[in-house]
Amino acid sequence: MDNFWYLFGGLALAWGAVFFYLGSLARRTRDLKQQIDVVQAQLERNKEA
Amino acid sequence: MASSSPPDANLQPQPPGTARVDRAVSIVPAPALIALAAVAMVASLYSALLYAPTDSFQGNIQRIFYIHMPAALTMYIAVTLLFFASVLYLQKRDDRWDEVGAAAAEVGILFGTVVMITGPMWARPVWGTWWTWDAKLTSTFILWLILIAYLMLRAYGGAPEQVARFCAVLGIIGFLDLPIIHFSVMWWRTMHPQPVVLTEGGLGANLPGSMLATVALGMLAALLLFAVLFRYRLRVERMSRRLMAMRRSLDFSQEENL
Amino acid sequence: MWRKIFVLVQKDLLSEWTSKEILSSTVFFSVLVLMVFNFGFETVADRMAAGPGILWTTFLFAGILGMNRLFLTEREDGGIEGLMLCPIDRTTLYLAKWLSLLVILSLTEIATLAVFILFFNIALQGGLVALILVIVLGTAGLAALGTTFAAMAVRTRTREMMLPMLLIPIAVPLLMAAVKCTGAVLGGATLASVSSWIQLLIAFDVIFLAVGYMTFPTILEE
Repeated sequence: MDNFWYLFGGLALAWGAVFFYLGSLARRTRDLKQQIDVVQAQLERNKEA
Repeated sequence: MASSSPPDANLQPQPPGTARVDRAVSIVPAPALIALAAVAMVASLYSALLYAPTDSFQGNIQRIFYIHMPAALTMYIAVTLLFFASVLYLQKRDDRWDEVGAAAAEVGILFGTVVMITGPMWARPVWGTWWTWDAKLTSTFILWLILIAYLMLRAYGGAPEQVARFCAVLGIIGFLDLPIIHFSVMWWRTMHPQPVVLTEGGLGANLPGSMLATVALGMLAALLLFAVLFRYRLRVERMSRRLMAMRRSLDFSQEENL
Repeated sequence: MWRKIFVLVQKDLLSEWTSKEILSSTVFFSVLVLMVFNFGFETVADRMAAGPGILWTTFLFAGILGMNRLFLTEREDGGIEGLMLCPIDRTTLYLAKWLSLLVILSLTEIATLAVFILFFNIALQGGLVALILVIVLGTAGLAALGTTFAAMAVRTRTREMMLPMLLIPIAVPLLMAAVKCTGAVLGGATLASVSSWIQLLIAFDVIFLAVGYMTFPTILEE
């Protein structure tokens, strides 16, 4: 196939960018959820205090 | 991706102003949408690589067009969404429109990145050069830069309320600039393949049916992917604001306890 | 309204004229930039071809410096807070700032143009009026956007660094039009030959003046 590496390289990089972004969203979601849980626990402790 | 948000009842009474921000993260998980997007993406990839006929002039590299053009169109759709969200935010001052703007811009940049990757990959074998300052490429590149500037403003703009206002203004200015950019780069010089989908003969008059179908499928896949990523990013934005509101509420309650 | 604008502009220009703080830096900077460009282009032919682009790039960079100074010092000295206490519409304030900036930029550019003609051995074939018109049209647009974006930029964390990031992508069409028109005039052609570019310049100015006018109150909100 002509220009094989341009085609597949381009497609791989493009899809790679999409999945990289997806991964970054997943990581951010996980971190936020963790921090929300921590603050939630602190709020509950304060309420009991 | 499904997760439940913490119940609101546990939050302390809010100091005024945060009540508006404290909203349950109301993005309902949509596995159907995700599944549909995944199927469409795989189908469009198959269609682009195997179903569509080989271009007689450019050869197989032309197949990258089936990702390149839908991605570019989707970026323009994202900036249009950003424009309306910006106008609505300035009118109503509802944070939800600011959230839409933030999500639309970021996902728009991703699609722009796809365009910037696939464009040179196409240009190099076909035109002999990685980059050229022709009309469409330059317009799209400038739009990409405007979205990146928007993100910088979001990151370094200061207090959240100020950032929301400033970004809305930038969103409006950026969008209004687009037709001007279009004309100016078009008059400057042009080298892009002449429109093959939108021509005088009507939509897709010059393309064989199988190519047109592949373009349509590519567009569908791009839009569905945009919808999925947009909702995901919107959820991240809402979680982030919820966290900020909770932290403020925590500070407030700690002050009360002192 | 126009009287208030006149008073505000007069205040700005008078303050600048006494200190010459902005003008001295921007003009000197322009000279340095022109010199650097001169070294970047070896042959006379290269310099002739790149001339209009070099001129407007210099205008742009010096202009950004000027915008930053104008809005930064005002914020630091508390001038803008004082102004906001006065019974002046924020929209009127926008027009006043735009005009002040336009005058200051234009003064800088006149000096830059003189140095440019000197360094690049330009023979102005009677097109001076047309050239001035093009420069004013282009600068009006830069000032319109600059007022909006500088007001935002000085209120952000990265302050003056934010301005070029916001201004340059949006101003690209303005720069293209200005360069094309300047090139035509310097090459001896009439403005009619680049009428579409002139129309683009005017449209750009009108649109972003209007947007700037309408959004200035939003930007200055506390």
